[in-house]
Amino acid sequence: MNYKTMPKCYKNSSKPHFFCPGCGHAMILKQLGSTIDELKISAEVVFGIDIGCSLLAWDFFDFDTIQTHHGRVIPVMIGVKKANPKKVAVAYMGDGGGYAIGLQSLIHAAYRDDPVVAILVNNTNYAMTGGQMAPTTFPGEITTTSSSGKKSSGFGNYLDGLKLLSSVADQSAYLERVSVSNPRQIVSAFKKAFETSDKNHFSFIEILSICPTNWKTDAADSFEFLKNMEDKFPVQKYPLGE
Amino acid sequence: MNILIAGEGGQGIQTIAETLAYAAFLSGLDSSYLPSFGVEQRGTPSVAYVTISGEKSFGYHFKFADIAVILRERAIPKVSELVNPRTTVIFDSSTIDRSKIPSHFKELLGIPATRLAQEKIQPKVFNVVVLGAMSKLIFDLDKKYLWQALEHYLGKKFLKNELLRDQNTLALDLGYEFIFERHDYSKPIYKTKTSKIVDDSEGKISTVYPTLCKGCKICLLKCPVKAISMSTDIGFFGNPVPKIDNKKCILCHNCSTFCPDTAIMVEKS
Repeated sequence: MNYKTMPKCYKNSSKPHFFCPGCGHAMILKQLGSTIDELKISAEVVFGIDIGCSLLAWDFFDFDTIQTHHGRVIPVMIGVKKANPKKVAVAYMGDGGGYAIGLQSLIHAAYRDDPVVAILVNNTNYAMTGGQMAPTTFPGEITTTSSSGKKSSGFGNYLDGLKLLSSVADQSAYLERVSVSNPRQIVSAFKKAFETSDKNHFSFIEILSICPTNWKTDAADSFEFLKNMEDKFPVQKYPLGE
Repeated sequence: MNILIAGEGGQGIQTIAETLAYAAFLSGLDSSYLPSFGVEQRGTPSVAYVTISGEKSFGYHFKFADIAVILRERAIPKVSELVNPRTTVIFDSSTIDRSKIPSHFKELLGIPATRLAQEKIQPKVFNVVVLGAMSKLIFDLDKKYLWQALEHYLGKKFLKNELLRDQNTLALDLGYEFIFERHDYSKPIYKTKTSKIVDDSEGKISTVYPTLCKGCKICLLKCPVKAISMSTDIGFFGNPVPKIDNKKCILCHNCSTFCPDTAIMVEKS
């Protein structure tokens, strides 16, 4: 069946996709697909996906996709880029892969200014395994492993990864945080990231996303929660004031 | 007594099975509950095995069900292996066509739970309607125990939203008072659509793909003029799909921008 609603680089035969109803991942991938369509770079893109909910993007697009070990998507995509500099390397991960197990890879890629487009989807929990507590979980937030709310003492506050990266990243790297409450801003961030990658610099986009299944919220409550997230993780670009 | 409840993830199958087992336990009977589902996702088959008996019972997968409750057409293949001529089959007559039910059963009872819930209360409580009707049939259980069990599992949700408590009370009563259809089954008014739904009027063409829609209702939330509502057509994932009122639509494209499943769009004709 031919769906005229889909971006052209979507693989029609693998739809409907595996994401839950109302998943933020699917919204972000749709914006990514339409950006790639608009820039006409689908032949050049190599798409790397991490373990976690992001791996459900396997077989999602009609271009080369690599599934890597947990937290190792950025090093693998750097390898792809080094082997074939004409390719555009896109590393797609969740907050578990990027801010927990794969944090050192992310920090070093930002510090070395490797020409990779890193996209990190933050939904404040480990969604694929059933919504466990993550470094990005807020104090007081209820997850499967923090049933009475996360306690700051012993588990820490929440990790602002963008702030962390901004202090180590190279001057010419592009860092931005956007939210799924504004899809058009996501598109413009992706365009800027691909532009940066063309100039052989590192670009990192963190996207605040919704997870209705593990937050146990409906559509309205999910976006309410997202608003709360946007207060804690401000939507902004680095360096500030640019 | 072996009870099998089959449906789809997201319908609340496991909730009612657990509640039923706990209510039986509270009333002094011995009960066990065993869930069986694949990936934790809406739209995948979900089956629950409940055993209730006066004697000591142990949890296990049984070979034949005394009562089989079917709440979604796609769950039928999974159920039919466990249905034998001594089984009483209960089905949701407002979504499942009677002819699709396996033919070897003792008795076939219909309850138009989806329609009852949608018309009288709200669509999501349909599982509690089934629970009420089922427990009345099975062991004429005192409603007190049933409510106590429901409170035990849903109490936290009730505290968050007081309206839910009233709705669930209503649903339980509705199910409890319901007399099963034995011959004149309701028509399955909720039809599963497989082709796209196109509406070409008022100078706009609206398209909805029921094979893609997962019923997250983000389009309803993001529509600035409230032109989208849920229709009686059922999509691939067993959820009602959205319907666009072309007259109200202002072509802002918010629905197609936000839709995670690329299932909806409106364009100028």
